[in-house]
Amino acid sequence: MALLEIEGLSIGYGTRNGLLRAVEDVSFTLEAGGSLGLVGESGCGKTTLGMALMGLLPPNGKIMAGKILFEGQDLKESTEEQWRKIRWRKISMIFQAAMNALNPVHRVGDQIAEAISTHRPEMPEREIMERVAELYRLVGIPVERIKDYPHQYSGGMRQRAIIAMALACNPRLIIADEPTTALDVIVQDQILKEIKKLQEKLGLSIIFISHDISIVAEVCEDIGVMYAGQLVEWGPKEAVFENPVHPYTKALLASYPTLMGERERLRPIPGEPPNLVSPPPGCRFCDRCPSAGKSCKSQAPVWAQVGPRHKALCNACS
Amino acid sequence: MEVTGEHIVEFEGVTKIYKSKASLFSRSSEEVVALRDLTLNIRKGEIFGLVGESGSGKTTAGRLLVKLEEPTEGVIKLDGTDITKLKGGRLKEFRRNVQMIFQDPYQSLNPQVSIFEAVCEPLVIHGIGNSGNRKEMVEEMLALVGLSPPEDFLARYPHQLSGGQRQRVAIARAMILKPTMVVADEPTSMLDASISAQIFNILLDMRERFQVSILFITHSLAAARYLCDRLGVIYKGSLMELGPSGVIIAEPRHPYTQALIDALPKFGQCGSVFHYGTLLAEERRGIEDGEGKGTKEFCPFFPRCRPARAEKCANAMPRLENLSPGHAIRCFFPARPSLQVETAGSSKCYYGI
Amino acid sequence: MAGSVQKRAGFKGAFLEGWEIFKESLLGRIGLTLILIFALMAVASFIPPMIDPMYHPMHGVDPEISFSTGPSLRHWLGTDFMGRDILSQLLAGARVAFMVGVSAAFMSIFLGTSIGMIAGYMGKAVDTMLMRLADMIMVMPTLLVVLILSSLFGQLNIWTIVLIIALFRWPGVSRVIRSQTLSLKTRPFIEAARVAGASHFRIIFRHIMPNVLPLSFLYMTFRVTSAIIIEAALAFLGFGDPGTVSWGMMLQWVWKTGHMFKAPYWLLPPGICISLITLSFYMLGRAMDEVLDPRLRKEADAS
Repeated sequence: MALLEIEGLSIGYGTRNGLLRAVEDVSFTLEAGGSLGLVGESGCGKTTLGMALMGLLPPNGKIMAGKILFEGQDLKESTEEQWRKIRWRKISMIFQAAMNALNPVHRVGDQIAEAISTHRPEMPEREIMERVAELYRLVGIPVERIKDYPHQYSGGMRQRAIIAMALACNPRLIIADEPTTALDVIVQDQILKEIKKLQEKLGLSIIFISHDISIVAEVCEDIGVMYAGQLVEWGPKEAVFENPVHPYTKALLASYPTLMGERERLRPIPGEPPNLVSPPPGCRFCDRCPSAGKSCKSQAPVWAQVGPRHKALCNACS
Repeated sequence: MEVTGEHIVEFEGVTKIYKSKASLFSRSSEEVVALRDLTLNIRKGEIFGLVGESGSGKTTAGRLLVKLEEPTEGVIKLDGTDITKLKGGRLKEFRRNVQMIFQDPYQSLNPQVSIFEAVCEPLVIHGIGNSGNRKEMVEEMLALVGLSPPEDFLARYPHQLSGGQRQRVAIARAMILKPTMVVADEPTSMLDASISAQIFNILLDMRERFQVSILFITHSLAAARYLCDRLGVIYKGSLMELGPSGVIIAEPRHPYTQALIDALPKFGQCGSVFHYGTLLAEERRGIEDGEGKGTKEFCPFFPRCRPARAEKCANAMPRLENLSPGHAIRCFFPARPSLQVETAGSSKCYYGI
Repeated sequence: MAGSVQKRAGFKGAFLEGWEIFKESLLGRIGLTLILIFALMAVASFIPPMIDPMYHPMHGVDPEISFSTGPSLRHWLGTDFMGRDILSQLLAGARVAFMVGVSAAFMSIFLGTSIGMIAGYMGKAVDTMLMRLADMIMVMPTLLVVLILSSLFGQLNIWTIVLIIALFRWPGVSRVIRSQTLSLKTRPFIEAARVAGASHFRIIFRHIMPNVLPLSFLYMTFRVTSAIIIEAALAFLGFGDPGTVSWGMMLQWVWKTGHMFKAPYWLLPPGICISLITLSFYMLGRAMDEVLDPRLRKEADAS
């Protein structure tokens, strides 16, 4: 049984202008120990999906249809009480490296200790501090820095501390939403390698959310491409990179340069994504699609199975 | 567009030091050297890339060039004229020729000003055109940056546009005066990767059409290689390596440049890509906060540099020296050339921008 | 971003959007209704003298009455000690209150906004000088200064009073506008204007002002309140303009003629009006605060 199974998940936000369909009919599975990278432009619903998996949708957000099966249990109907038992212990999150993820007036070690003691009130303090030291060793921060305050940490160390906090309660699934924005290239590389290493070492499952394929590719085995609220292509990263099927995936891949060979002009995607309050009836990408057929505009696309674990939401592709 | 040998911009020994005032808690005022003895020039019609991490001084260099700040020492010349002493009419003339595209398009457009007014403002300031043909000029420029149909955008306000559209507006605003020099300060770091490519292509088009020279400031060597003719790699205020972008990417000779290439996120067929491994996993401690702090000269990259040798690198600041014509590095122990010719061998390995 | 409200464009759009939020506020609705009622009263103040000269608030005297009477059909709120109609005085008082309140507030806001923007934008010596001046004026008690001035120069004209109030009430506004300007000054769009070659004048009035004006208008509502109170206090103490009928003046007449505890029909209306009009402008200000302050708004959204 897969660790996480998402079936036909749709999420909407109530806004002044009507219902905004942020996520529509998204389905995928994630095995224990697997890693999935969700990529797409801002506003494509990837962050909303991540929030839903943590039970942290904003008040005007609502799951309208579908199932979130985690270890076989549907989280959709969970109460706040039940979510509290799942969050951090089973599913936890790595936030952006912003300063505000850590409270500036408390020592970093104490903040991690507090995260542990909230979820394991029975644990004696000494054991908690041992656990914090263990986490520091795990994510590669010198243990003597436990008593330092956040401002004494470099950006990279702060991000490591946030990772340590996410790992505090031995979760099975980690959701990382743009965890390396605001970090420099070299630090970003170190953090990505650290996440990858920890994932392999601890057998974690990861959902890594980013707008940047190159970052996601450093960590994940599977790639899910999202566009305008829908998952449009899903498969192992080798398959997606070598044999992209959906025109949007192809276009995304063509936005990245190489370092060697002739300098070829990049071919970015023209246009803007559709409004999600009143999305078009057919394929949502068809206005920007170079290979759209006549029926694409009116006919909703269906999944085309490309390989055993590789599918694309497109009528013109198969 | 042909890049001529003529220089449009010359930085000569430019140093910028920020002083933090003495406060209640720290008696002595602290000095931060943002830029140390920068000497480089930008050729007419060229896109010059300044690559570095945050705090490297790359943004400071750009702000000095557009006169948002003044250098502590040194001279900056535009077309042979020292810009640090410009006043009055000469300064206004300078403002007409040198423009800037800012990092964050969400912040660089006034929320209260419509797109038409924003793009038109430089024309009004410099008294170009009249109320009749300004609208045409604005529409033409909006079309050139890919906002079409342009008349749809005139009456809109920044918050009604996406980040990419806003940055196009910012480019249109910068280009409407047909400047000779534009500073683009990380124009895509706030945008999605897929949008970045659009912005890069617009910059290339602008160079082609208006023969404008561009100082492109970025943290990504991949973006720099895509856009730039020549590159400068800067670390903690000092220029570390300078040369044609193709040469720097294919045969980087400075350990820091090599570390930057190693760190680029990539995907595709990257299996054969060479890894330089010049970055130390843990920084060498003690040199920056040891005895005689601030007085001792040393290579700024020494604490993180694997090939460094303490007896030399920790005791003196290397000078920027030519390895070959047009390719200079600041290192006592330059890496051997062409260690691996097919470095990032595969042309099917793609890099993050 | 997903879930965010589609924003509307420009001043008109911002105004409409603000109005949507404003409408939700009970305080704002009550305040605005009251202000509208007072405005109607001010407009209506022109009617009574047209019906009959005896209803003129200042010079009209009922020929049949020469002392204070209670409400009657002829004088709905009664008459004062000379036989003048109290209702028409009350209506005229509303007009004066608006005149004093709005014009004094407008002038002090104009001064405060300009000085605050200049101080914040120019910085250095200009800033220090203007802000020390503001500090000096801020610690001077307005009422006391006006009292001293009027004891020196005799009765003050109503416009002189307005001017004095304006001159003494700008420093608070200028401090707020200055700090707003300081934070705006470093925003990239101001730097972008500098790079485009915009003059200081242009940057201040074209780029900074539209961004501080909403705040100025907010402070204006609070300034209206304080100007009305100061004028009423002055008039009550006998330092008002003897040629105008204001609510403070009415109270002074009540008190001077010894009707304080004998004629509630005369004492209460101006007293209630002063309280209500200051309260209504205050409520309007609080509701506007909610519109302008994104933190308050978020709380409202979450509930």
